[in-house]
Amino acid sequence: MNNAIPFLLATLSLPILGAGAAFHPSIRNASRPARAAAALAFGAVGLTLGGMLLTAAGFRWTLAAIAAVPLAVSLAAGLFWRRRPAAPFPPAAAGLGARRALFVIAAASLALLGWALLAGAATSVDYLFFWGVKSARFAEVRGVDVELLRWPFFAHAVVDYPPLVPIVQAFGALAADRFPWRTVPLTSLLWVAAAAPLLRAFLRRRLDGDSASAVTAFWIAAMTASVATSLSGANAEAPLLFFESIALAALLTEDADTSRFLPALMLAGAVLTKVEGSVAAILIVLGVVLRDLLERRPRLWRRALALTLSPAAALSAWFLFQWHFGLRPGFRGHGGLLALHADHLGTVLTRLPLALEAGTYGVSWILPLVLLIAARPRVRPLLPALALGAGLLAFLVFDYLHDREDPAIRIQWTAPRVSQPALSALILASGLASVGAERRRRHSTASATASVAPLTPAP
Amino acid sequence: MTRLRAVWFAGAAALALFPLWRFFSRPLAEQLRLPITPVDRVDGARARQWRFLAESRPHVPPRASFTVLAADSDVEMALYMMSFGVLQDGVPLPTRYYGNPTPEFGREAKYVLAFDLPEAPEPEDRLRLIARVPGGAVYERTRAQ
Repeated sequence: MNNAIPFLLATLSLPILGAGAAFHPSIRNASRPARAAAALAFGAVGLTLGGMLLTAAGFRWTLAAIAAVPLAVSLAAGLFWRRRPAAPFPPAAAGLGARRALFVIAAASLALLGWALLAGAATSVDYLFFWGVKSARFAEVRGVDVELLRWPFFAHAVVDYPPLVPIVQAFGALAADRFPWRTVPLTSLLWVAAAAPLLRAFLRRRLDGDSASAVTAFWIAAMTASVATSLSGANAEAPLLFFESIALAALLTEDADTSRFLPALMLAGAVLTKVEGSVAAILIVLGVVLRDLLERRPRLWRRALALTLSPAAALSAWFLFQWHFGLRPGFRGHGGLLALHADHLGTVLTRLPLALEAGTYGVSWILPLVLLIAARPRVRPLLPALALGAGLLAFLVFDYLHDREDPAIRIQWTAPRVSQPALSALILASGLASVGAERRRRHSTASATASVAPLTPAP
Repeated sequence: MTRLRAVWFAGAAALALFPLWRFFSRPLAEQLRLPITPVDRVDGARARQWRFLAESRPHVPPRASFTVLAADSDVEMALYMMSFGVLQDGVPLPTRYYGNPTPEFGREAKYVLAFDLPEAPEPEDRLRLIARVPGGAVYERTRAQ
């Protein structure tokens, strides 16, 4: 317990390290919790890049030194951004009933997830095999442990994975004497909880306050159940879910001239978190470009570049770091790109749906899917979510077909975790489409054109 | 409140019942017991192996090299992977890596952590028993192999 409190305090200070983001014009008028969540993302990304930079420059990490880099950048950025006029943001207002319902459902869901994480009921052995190991070792040597990553007998620790999670957890451990193994899984709770206010804020751009609260409540309940039963504690899934879900919500609800600072920051966080983060970033960008192209939105390529630059720079930083220290730059695949074992297709297509149970016997998937289909939405505005959801599932099929042996066990083990962003995308798309469609029907004066009306901003 | 909004809230409440049901499906006293390892309730075998390493840790000096031995190669690999975390200031050397023998590394280790082995893994003139711990024993190598 002596190590737990300093670790938790250091981890909870991440939004302070990235506080500058809360003053960005695109987010400054959002609620305080939403701005704190944006600061968390900025802090985590800044800490990761700063940690790599210190190691590359030959400086050993201390709590002050590793915090100084993101803090200085954040301070300078915050001072610059606060002088610029803030963009309007819809007030988070919701009725008392909706607010209470959201609070009760979120509090109960997060409390149950917190219990599961603390009780050793929501963490897989991957945490003991490599996620936690890398974090503990980084804290021990006070830097990215390059020697260890280079050692052939550490190859089991997926050394090519980007370093956000080990660096963020090592930062917390620097404040403690030893790595607090039982406490660290609680950080997964932080990421899921932090996503909620930003998701609600972005949903509010297209939905009224009550509806945004309802969809957010569903998202929290679905994700907490999934994170717990897929044993995602302390690994990269919760931060990945945070980064990808917020990027997606921001892009689904943006106008043609909305700033892309926050979704670009979130995609940078995603690519620094896990290999799948890069896959998701590519899918989201493709979906956005396709939507903008079909909707003939102005300055399409310029805005696409604005969205792509940050994640591309973040990923390049990691690859450059690998190259600098003689590590093989890039990611390792599961064999040759097109070395597929088509005979496993039957196994993959039957086992994968079974693995999407999400701790709720599939209800988390079925309800939004039914509502989405029933809403008969326009597809174009939802393309970013559909690209992520369908694209990620297709990527998983493609990935599992690379297995030489029967992939059933690997599907059962990994699919519940790595499919979570697809579930998140489905919930967000369905929430925006179904509630939006109902509102249009209500506001329609018996006009048959209601079902093809666009996703319009809330009144 | 519109009908669909109510459906989303009702769905959210229904989803929250699943973990609640899982929580109350076991006696409360058992549920509130704090775990010893982060995987106590999901993987008893790995939790036991983790505890073995944690019990061994005080008997291995900082920065000392060690190897882990077990009868089963999968268990040995799991112990090896976890040892990087439990003995985070030590130097793990594999005797087998994913089942492939690597004795040239393992025999260089100063300490031997033997898990669930009925007797000393090497002749007694080469190993000195340091401690018996739950799940096995810790030995110190007394001379070069």
